Amino acid sequence: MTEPRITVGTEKLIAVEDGASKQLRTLLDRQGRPNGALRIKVIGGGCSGLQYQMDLVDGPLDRDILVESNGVNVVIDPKSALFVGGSELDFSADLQHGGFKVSNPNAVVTCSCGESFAA
Amino acid sequence: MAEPVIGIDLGTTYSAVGIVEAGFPILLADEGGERLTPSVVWFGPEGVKVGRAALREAPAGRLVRSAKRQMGVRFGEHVEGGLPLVGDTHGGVAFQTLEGPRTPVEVSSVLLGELKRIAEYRLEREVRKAVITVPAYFNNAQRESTKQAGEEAGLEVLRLVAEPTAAALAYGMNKLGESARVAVFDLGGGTFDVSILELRDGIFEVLATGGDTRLGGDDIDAVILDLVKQGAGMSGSALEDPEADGDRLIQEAERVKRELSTKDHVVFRVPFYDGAQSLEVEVSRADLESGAEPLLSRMERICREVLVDAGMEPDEVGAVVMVGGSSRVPAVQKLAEAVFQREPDCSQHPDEAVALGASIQAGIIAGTWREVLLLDVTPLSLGIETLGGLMNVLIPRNTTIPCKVGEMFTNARDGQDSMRVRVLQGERELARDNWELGKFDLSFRSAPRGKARVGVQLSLDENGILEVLARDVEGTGEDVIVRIESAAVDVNEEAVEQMVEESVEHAFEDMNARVFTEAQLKAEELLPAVRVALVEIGSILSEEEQEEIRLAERAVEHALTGSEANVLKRAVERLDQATEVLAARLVEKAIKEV
Repeated sequence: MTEPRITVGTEKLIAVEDGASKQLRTLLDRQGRPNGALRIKVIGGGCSGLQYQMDLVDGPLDRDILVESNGVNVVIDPKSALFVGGSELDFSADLQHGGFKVSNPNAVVTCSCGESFAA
Repeated sequence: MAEPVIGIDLGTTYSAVGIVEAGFPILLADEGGERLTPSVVWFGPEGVKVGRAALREAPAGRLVRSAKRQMGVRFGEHVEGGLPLVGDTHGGVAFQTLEGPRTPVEVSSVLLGELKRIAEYRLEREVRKAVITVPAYFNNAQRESTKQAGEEAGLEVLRLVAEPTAAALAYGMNKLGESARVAVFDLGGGTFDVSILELRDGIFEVLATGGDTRLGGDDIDAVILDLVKQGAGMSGSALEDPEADGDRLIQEAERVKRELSTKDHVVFRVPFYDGAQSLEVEVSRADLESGAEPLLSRMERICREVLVDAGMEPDEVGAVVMVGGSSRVPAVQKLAEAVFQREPDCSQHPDEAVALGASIQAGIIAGTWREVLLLDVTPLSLGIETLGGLMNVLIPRNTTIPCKVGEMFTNARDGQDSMRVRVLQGERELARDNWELGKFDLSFRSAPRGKARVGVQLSLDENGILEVLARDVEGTGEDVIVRIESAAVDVNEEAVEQMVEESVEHAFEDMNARVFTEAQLKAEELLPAVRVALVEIGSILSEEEQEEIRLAERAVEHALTGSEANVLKRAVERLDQATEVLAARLVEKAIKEV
């Protein structure tokens, strides 16, 4: 078998926040694959027309982009990377809406005055 | 935290345990990092050993394998294999070990106890509740025995789940449409099962099931051993004596089988097999496939029977999910493809899918499973147009839905009493390059420039419906709410991809245009104010200060005629700095006048 070609990406592609990192490390340790990774794949469908699918995997496959962020490996295929760019992954233990969450704080840079408003 | 519920695949040859945690179904590994535990128990004079530890002991008379085959079986109806069987006190069977008879329930309860222990070790807490898988064909007695084994191991068995149902759960309901039918093809070490399930209202129902409890990967290993025998020109006995190097041969046959899934030729090699003599025979995939032909025919016949039982044609099956270790064998996959006339789905981990499905079922019962691993996100940014035709992003692309973001805006002119809210979607900096989702006018109490306060909030619910709320915060406090049904997010993948690509392609010119517009707005605000102030109180400044302001003013005017964002931005900054003293004096003057 030939060695998989892997590109190493930076946290500009995806950054894992503290909460998510801790949670992922626990999950990977309990599965007995401390060197495993979180795969994020962008798929069509869902109510929004775009969904992120997450999976725990052994490691990167051929042509994957590997990002090490906050002590966790994240692998993304090149097509999905186009969509993921600049996202942050966080985890909330909230019972109602708990779980992993994605946000894209980089886009906020272009925003103007920025006084927040909540109805 | 709620009490954990674990999912267990109690297999004939291997078992595994898992749980749903943080939304992920995961299998829990033992101290050695192994997620699969061999379903074997060794009964020794000083206690029992399970799994890999049991395999390290001398097996004779003490090692019980495949106890699952004897679960709920009546004495007299049993099939011999492994340790001799005797009748137990309730008419069932028991394994005759050197430590006395051990019933299949006892053996299974030891296995389940070990899986419970592994779960408790990984979760660092007590586990008392479980979901356990059983073959779809298990009768009531067999199911009761499995439940009893769980209870003897200290587990409350909340549910017994059919193995194909578990496999289908692992495959994912989300991949199947409404009332979809799926075939699960499960070729394990010693058993073969095919089931056709129907998903109705989120619940899988087994329509038909069939199989052979004496057909599995072990039979393929036996084919390899036969080929080796022929190749080495050996008599059968040397290879069949289990007390000799039987285990070494079986392990090597297994390795050869696995490698033949990806290679055309593999050398079967057992060093120093016969004293100094090593055993080396090349086995080809073609040889294996022709040798396995009788096995494949049996599988094919079973598949066709199940289709008939389900009253279905092959093309009515929506997906063929392959599980079980030996579903990796290419010839087996080809067979499934031929029978069901569609490419089988091999996306599931063959050895782990059933346990993962059991974990998902456990998670459904415990309320921890919510398919949260599929995050709905906004494919493109959502925002509104602001002064100068700019896109002001409120909800950035890739934000998890549902979400809600609001921002405060103000009026651009004195006496302005209404504004048009244009809701945009896209990644470009200028409003005109994005897609307009809707627009409406909001009236607010007339106020001097920059004094009105209008809150605009965009919220996207779970169904992707966008709601735009605009409120005159200082004035009437009234809300205008506009709902944009699904149009907000109902865009096709190519359109999204194109938008993203274009935003990257035009990134520099777009950003230049935004910075220019923002600087232009600032200049248009600054220039008239500076001119007025110079006339009113310019005299208090030194000649040089006045000259610097005029130079800066001219630089801004010049830059406005060009299109270089950075030039304009720097000119505006220079003017801003040069007029600092002027601004300070104006403020002082204003204070005195009050």
